[in-house]
Amino acid sequence: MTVTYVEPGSIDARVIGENWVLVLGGVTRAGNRHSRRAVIEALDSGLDVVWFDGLEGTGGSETPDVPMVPADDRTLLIVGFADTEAKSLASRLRSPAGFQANNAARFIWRHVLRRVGSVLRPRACWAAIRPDVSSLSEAAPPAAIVIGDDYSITSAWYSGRIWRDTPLSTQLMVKSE
Amino acid sequence: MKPHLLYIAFWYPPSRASGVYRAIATTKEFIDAGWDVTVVSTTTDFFEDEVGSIDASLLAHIPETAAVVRVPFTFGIAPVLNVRSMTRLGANFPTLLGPIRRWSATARSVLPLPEDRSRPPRIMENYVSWIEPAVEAGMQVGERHRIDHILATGNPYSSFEAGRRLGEALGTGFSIDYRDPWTIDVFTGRSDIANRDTTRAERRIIDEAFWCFHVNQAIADAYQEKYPESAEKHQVVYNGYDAESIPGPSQSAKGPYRFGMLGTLNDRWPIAPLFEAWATARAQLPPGSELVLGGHLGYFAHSQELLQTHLPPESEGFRYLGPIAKSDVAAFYSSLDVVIVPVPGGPMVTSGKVFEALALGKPFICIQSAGGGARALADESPLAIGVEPKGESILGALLQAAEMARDLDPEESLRVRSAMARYERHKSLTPMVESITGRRSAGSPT
Repeated sequence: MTVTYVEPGSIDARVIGENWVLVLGGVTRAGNRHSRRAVIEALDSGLDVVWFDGLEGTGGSETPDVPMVPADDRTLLIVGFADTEAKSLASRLRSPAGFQANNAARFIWRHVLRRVGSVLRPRACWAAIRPDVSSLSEAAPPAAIVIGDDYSITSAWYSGRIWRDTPLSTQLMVKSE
Repeated sequence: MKPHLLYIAFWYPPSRASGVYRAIATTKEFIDAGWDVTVVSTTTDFFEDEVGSIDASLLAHIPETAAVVRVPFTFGIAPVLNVRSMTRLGANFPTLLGPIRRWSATARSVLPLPEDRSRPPRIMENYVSWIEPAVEAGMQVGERHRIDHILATGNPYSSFEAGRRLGEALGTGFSIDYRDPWTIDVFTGRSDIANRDTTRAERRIIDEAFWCFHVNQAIADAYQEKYPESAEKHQVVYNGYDAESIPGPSQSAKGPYRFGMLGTLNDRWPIAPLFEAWATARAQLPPGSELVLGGHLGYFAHSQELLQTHLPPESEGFRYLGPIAKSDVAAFYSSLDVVIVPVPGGPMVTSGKVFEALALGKPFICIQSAGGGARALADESPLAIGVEPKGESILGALLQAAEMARDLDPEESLRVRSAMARYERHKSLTPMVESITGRRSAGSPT
């Protein structure tokens, strides 16, 4: 199996085979584990996978808690977009840094800004992966799109507009011909 | 042919939620009474990923003959949405959808709108999306193996609605087991904490249920008062203790003394006055005396960090031992000279740990406000000291308990153990099994 870590914005659609699955996200720990299971299931089913991993930085390192199952001649592309997303307004609003000066600032951060940051986060995730997803539209349509968590819904909705016939679900569901 | 019980227990091993012990014991009890049992629970993925911790050792406690059906659940909204049919606005801000649904449900219950009684009540709970898949799973079980009775345990109370719907669809009677009150505040006793729809849903469930079991008399009384037309359905089935958690007889202690508490710490435990009292008591106790805490810090993984800050440093004669596996509970209790059970709330809060403390035949301190459910039970033992959650009162209790441990009469300890054996889990749960078995024999649902 080939595991390749790809810098956001530099994906090459030509390395993807005919049968592949798009796994979106997991910016939460639970969502990431969910996504990881979907990735393993897809690889076991003989499919290539492009995984937009929201907990992975651009450096790339395999998270040890769920081992990847080796499968011959499969391709797994991991696009770690955590660093890109961290630069977004949504991410900055969710960070308490800069809002610890006094009780009023802490209160405003906790009850307003942090929540606004969470509301904007799905949109920020989509902004982080949009260039790569657009590049992938040149490849064959994916066999399935898997939604990692609630923060991946925006990415899933836009991806669903690119590939209108592809099954889109939180579980791996491959369309049968 | 054996009768078949469908037991809806969301929290079930490998979950380590406090309700799983009652759920395991209920399964065993029905099997021992000659029933086949199929449990409908949720998945290990949910416990691992979203709750954040499991106790895999509890899986060994599930009786081998019990079948367990795992129905997926998530707190996320993604699985219940048709993403393709979402509007652009909804798709761009999906995390707003959950709060908007909750706000609109609250608004409907608060605004003086005419109540539409022809519409089925909508339950307001974070677990409602589990109802339909649980019902579907139950129907599949029923197709393979005829179900004679359905028992649902809550929380989550969505399990009750799943039980009701299944009972209706299969023409089978169902009962519900409240481990806590649903629409009554367990701490204050206020009975108006749920919205109108949820209360309507609860009323309908109780109306249609065979039996409603409660963990103490105060909760049963509150429900009988709230729904007087169903008064005869409400029964008390105490949590009790598991015999395997109780070590052999206790002996007097020479000191230094070891005080200890066991359980899942939450921010409602009155531990601040305990630690305040402990800081003073240490100076008056033999050197080397210590206070230990065994158990998880909070129910969810994310609670741990915050609760850790509530604990004193270990240099102050305190040690946090971490989680204690079920199979090690007896050894933990055996190592203590005095057991401490801190309990929040009032008459409706008993805490399962009180039954273990009663059964040990050791001195034990029950920290709860006067009139509390746990205090009332503690009063049954001459070895128990019930105290208010105030530093000064607890200080006196710590010193008194140390003296009691030193002077413990093994004969008295045995007498207490013998008297408290009535709370052994098997005996506690027998009324539930007998009621369901008896009602099933008696005939159709009311």
